Amino acid sequence: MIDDVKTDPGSYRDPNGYIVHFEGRVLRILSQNGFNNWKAFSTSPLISQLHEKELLIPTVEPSDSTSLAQHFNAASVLEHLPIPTLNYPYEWPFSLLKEAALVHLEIIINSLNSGFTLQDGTPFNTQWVNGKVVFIDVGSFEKHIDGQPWLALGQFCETMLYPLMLWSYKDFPAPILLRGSLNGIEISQCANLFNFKDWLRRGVFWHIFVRSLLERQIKKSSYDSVHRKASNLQVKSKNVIGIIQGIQGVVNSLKGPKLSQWANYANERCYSQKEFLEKKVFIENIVSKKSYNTIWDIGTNNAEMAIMASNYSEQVVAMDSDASVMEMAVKRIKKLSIKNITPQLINFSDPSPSLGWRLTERPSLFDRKRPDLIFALAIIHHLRISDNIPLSNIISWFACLAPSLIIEFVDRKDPMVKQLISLKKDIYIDYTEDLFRKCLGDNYSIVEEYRISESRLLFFCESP
Amino acid sequence: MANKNPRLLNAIKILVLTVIFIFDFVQPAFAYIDPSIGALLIQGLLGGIAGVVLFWRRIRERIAIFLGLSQNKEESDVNEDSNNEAEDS
Repeated sequence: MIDDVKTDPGSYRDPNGYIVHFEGRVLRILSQNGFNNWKAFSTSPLISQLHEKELLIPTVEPSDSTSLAQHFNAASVLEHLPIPTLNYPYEWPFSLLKEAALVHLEIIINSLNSGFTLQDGTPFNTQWVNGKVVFIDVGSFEKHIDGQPWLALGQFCETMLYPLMLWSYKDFPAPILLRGSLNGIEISQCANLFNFKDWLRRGVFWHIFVRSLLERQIKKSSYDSVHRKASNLQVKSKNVIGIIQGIQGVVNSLKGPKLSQWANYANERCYSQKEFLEKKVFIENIVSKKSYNTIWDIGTNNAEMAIMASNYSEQVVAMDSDASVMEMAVKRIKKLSIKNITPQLINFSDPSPSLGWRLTERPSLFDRKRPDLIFALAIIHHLRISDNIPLSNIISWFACLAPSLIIEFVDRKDPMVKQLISLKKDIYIDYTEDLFRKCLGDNYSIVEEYRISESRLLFFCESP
Repeated sequence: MANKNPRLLNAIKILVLTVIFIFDFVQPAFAYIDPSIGALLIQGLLGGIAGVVLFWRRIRERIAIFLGLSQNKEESDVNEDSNNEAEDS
């Protein structure tokens, strides 16, 4: 008997199948049409090509497929590798969104060459899993009708190409855009953000300017036949592939965000290398003693501590609100081939909310898997002084999120704290070591503490 | 930005109608997502340009071969050219 089945709230669009979760398994329930698509796809050389390139989430027909199909009144059931840490495009650093776009383009080119196509082109069909972006929606593959263009190109442009171009060319971060609208940015809105000079930038003339003119002309046209005939348009597959290769070139040429003041923080921080190493040893002693399932490193910067912690814990989420330092973090994670760190571009004081249909389609950061340990290293002064969150409120929220906390208190003598307060009215009467200790004591038991410098103190706390 | 240039608009309009009408029609394109008409047409347009370039290159090569100005090229080279054309877009 199958109990405790949860239908994935984000899986409702495709009429050919949907995702359910039960007992830690991720199952795709297929209709007859979906099963036919899967049969064609799974028996073609395309699936092994994509698996060889590690572009596709591992998927099998489970041994209990028949009984599961009977239970769900379905044609068949597939099983996917579970995703340890769900992550969404509006939380991705630039290079992850770029990788997602390139994964889509690589897959559609391979698919068209093998007589298949992708029904959609949204970054929500990809996830960062085991150190790379993979495509998770096997239900998207279907037989390509010769002569048809790629129907999902518009969606691909609106949710990936344009957000990437705006980030790269206009320094407008895509997470703001994608969090504001899960469908991305419409061509007419996007075209308004580019000017004549931008025509010279790669991809802008054809994919933004000409396309927006086409759409504008069509909207003005009263001919229904234009719409009908446009949907009947025939383009040779090799030409569609050529166009997609052109977009591949555009995406490959896009550069990430400019360096911010935090990009060189590791070299310019307010304490010595010796003190930094002492801090690392203190933290390593804690994480190495117990096997933590999920650690959140808030304000990870170059992910130094997250990388160290990844040796001991199942999963680490490395988050920072600065796009350029997250780029450095991703670079290091990739270079070291670390598979259990999820890099996320998140401002902890304004994290991802619940979004989409019924506000359950994309759960908030806090409605997903919560951590059992939080690193809050050199972040408390930013939350208190820059974000004006009272100290007691910060600590009690940490206590709600995780049973264990490693936190660094940076006191008023620290140059960074002085800098943060310098242009503001000093209303931060609670920002003292004594009151900080009291807040910790109200929510946790202090297990261990270590003074790394005159102005910086480390605490390891656990829920009582 | 484009409204300021009626000539360009007219040119694009003609191009759109040309793109729509010069291609053969196959089965209607249906998907459960909304395929943006502009995104379909841009494929027709760029695909059409690639096709025209390819066609012109073939004619040019044949004339060149006929006149003894060039040697026969492999078909694969021509295909590569057509892809590169599209890439440049």
